[in-house]
Amino acid sequence: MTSRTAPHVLVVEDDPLTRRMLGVLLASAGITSTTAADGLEATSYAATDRFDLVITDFSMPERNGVELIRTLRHRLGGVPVLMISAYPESEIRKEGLDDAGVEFVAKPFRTADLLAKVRAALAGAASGADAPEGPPAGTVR
Amino acid sequence: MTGGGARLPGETPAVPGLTGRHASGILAKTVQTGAEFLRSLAVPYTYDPRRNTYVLFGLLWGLPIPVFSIGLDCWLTNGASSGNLLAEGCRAVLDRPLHLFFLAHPFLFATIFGALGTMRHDRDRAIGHLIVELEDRIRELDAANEKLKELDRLKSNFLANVSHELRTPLVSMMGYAEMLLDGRLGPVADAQREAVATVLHNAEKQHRLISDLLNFTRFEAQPRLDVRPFALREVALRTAESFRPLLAEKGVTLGVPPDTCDGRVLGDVERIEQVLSNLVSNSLKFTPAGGRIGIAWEPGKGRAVRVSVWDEGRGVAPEERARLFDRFYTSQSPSSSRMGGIGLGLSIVRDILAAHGSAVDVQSRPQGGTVVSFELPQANGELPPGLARLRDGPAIPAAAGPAAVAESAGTGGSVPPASGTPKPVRPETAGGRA
Repeated sequence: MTSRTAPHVLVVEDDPLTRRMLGVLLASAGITSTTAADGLEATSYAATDRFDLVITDFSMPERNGVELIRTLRHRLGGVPVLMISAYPESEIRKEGLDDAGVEFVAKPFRTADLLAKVRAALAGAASGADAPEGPPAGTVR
Repeated sequence: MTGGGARLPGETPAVPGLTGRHASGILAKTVQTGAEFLRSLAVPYTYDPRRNTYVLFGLLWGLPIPVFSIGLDCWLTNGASSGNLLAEGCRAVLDRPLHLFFLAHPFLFATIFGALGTMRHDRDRAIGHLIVELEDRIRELDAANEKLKELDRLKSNFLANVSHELRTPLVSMMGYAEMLLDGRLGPVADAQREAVATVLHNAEKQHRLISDLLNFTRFEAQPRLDVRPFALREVALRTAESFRPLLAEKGVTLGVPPDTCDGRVLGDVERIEQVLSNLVSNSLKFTPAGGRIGIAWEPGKGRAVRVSVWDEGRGVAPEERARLFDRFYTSQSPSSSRMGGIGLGLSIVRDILAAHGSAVDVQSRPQGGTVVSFELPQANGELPPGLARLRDGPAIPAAAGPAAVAESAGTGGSVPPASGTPKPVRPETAGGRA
């Protein structure tokens, strides 16, 4: 378990420029991330790897953010989710989102705000209350 | 007397239905019915089959009159019948021509009933036409309504998509600009920093304009409110925080009352934040460097809290005041033509506050500048009817409120419980450049 010292974030975003920017931003904050262009790609990553946080767009081809979260909940348990979207939150909730552990961030966002939310979510995940087979508390931080 | 007379003082009001107005109405109706009756008389008997039943009915109705009169005559003349009633009757008629008058009665009744039948038939037909027309109209309206709903759906979709497409490029623009400014992508020279700051600043401005436009159209389409109690202070501080960079750049300070008073009110916290933000943004346009802007609140009329945004700008000319909140109106003075804006900010303010049942008041300050104020119900006060209706409507579900709403609506957390009437407080400066 000592290999998992750095938090690992799954970024799902269809706009390539935004996807790259998010990767750069997380890297600059010392957070490892894997980026996926759509829900299918993200699901395939989730099948082989574990993530401490999912940052996902709402409107994407193949599978939208809400559907993706439903799928990922099966594979990743109670992993925290940050949903970033230029659509209003109320529109996204119409999709019938079970919002336990989901936080919304409106696009465009302040990088500082996003990083604060990412850190808070990672800290929350690290406390291990909702991760069935998560890493031991204290290893991530 | 049918004329609508002027009532004498002390005269008791006339019984409803017998007033002059009513009487003239009844007269007009009578004349109209009479004319209709005469018109019906002129129509040939074969006008319609229904009328024939009326004619028959009239004949039967009138028949007893000659039968009775002639029968009585025969009985009085002869005492007992000879057996041939018809012959006796004919003789009676020939003896007394007056019987012809009675004999005419069945035909007279037939004519009158026939005419009444025609009238009834005409009216039924007219009503039938009206019903058919009404049904046509209903169908037309239904179709138009469906079309409008479809258009509304298309418009909503279009707005959501436009909003998404316009904002998406800004995400990476603003993200990279912020990262550059934060030094996350390596050291930045001062000249470069200035350039990137300008990029970021203008991207933010673009974002605000897009949001203004979209909020306006969205609110206009569905003016729904998510009404909950919230603390004005929190909203004011959030507003001040969001304006911090702009305030610093312009050298203007924004005052928010100190934390002795929360200003607990009822309203849609998100919309009210938008109101404050638009008002501050407007004040900022007209306040010169070194000037001050303030957000303040104090007890208003009844159980209301009066919220105001004041500034030390150039003030509003009285003739401009009326148009200030008009859609797409922008100040015409040459000095403000550089101020930017698309003339929606204040009209959004007016619409949101109107939905909250409040009007916007614009006053000039004696010491220069402007105060824009409005009232919101206290958190423990009663909802104005308009607000209650909007709240009870098919509003956004409670869970849909943003996190900020949930925080301020809860009894715990950082928000102390309502402390009765808020006291007016002197603003202190918050935000802005030191």
